[in-house]
Amino acid sequence: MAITELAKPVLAAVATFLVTGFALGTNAAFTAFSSVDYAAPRTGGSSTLIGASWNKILDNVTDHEIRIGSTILWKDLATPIIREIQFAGSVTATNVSIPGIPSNARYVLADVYYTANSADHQNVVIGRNPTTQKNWVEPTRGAQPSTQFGNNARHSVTLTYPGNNDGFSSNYGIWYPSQVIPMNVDGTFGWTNYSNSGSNGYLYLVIKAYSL
Amino acid sequence: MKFENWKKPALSAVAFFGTLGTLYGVQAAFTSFVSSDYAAPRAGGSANLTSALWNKVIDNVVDQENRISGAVLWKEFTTPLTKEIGFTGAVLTSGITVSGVPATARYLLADVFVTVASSDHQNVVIGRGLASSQKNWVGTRGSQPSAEFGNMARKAVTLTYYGEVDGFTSNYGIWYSSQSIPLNNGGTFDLTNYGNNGTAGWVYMVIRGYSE
Repeated sequence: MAITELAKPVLAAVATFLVTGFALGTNAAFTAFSSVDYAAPRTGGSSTLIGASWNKILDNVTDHEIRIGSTILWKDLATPIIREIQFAGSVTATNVSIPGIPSNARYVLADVYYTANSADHQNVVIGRNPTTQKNWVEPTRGAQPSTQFGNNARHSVTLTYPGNNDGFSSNYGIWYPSQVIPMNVDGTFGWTNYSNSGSNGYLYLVIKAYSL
Repeated sequence: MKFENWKKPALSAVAFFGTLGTLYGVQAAFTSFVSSDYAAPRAGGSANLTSALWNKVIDNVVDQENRISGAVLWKEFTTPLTKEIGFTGAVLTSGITVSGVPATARYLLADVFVTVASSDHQNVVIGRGLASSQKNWVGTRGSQPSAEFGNMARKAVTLTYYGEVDGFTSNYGIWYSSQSIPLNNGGTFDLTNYGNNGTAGWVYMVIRGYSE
């Protein structure tokens, strides 16, 4: 490819770097590339120029690492993993392993299905070290949540299974797709169905991806 | 910083390129590294940084930036944030702030709880730039949505709260977990519960992560 052909995408990328850098404001180490940085090494430029530009490259790579390092990046499982858990009555914060998920996984992306054998309202909590905390209002619908809830500032998902005074419960079970589920440090997840009043059933997960 | 001190981050970044490249499969500009590419410059510094390798490094950094820029990358809050919003009747509230969310945030990862004081069907909409309320349900079950909906091409999540002719409503409130909520510039969000027929209630959020 001729140098002139390279110039357009490179300059566009330089503009992207600059715009993104200013927009995100997170890149203290960010040093913009210039057309000189690109042109000279591509034509066999001096070692001095390469050295300076090399530092810019590393600054940008480091900046990328900072921006991406601790974020959630889903890795597809070639075949989704199925995990089924039977319960009888109220379950208090039980840890569950998932064969096939790395022990250093921080999150799984899962479709969750839940079924109980009676019209028993319960909220299923799945995640990182979930504790049993009240997470519904009663007896009056529309009550202020924070006056009744426990500490729900936790890394878990909460799934509502209607029953009791809801006046409705599912006959066929309920799916809760695309749940972003935090994991424990050993790649297991904890779960609880606090508020279960003696019903039995199953928790079933289709795990589609994970993030380290 | 000395050149030698860049080895570790550079190496991890190179591995990182490869991982992401495989994950996304969109690297038209991506030029693979080979083991000799790594070894030579590490052994002898800039003198051995050939133009060919330099081009690969630039191509990959540019490609990386193109894929990161604008992407939703979740960052965890050490402790999830909570936000509670009361409403009476139909509301369209703009610019709701959450203490602890950076002004640069573009998205929130949140579990949302809704409770309403009577059997009043309504869809709670949370997101970016909700300048007007738009109908988002059908009056006769099974009707064609687009024949009845307003303009739904907006950056928001829509959460169904059952009531009225649905034949049931929640007594204990409903959780909608793992919602990806778009934010306004400045890290705020808008909320509407169009369809509300004069009932009071609450929206309670557990905010687990954000993306810039």
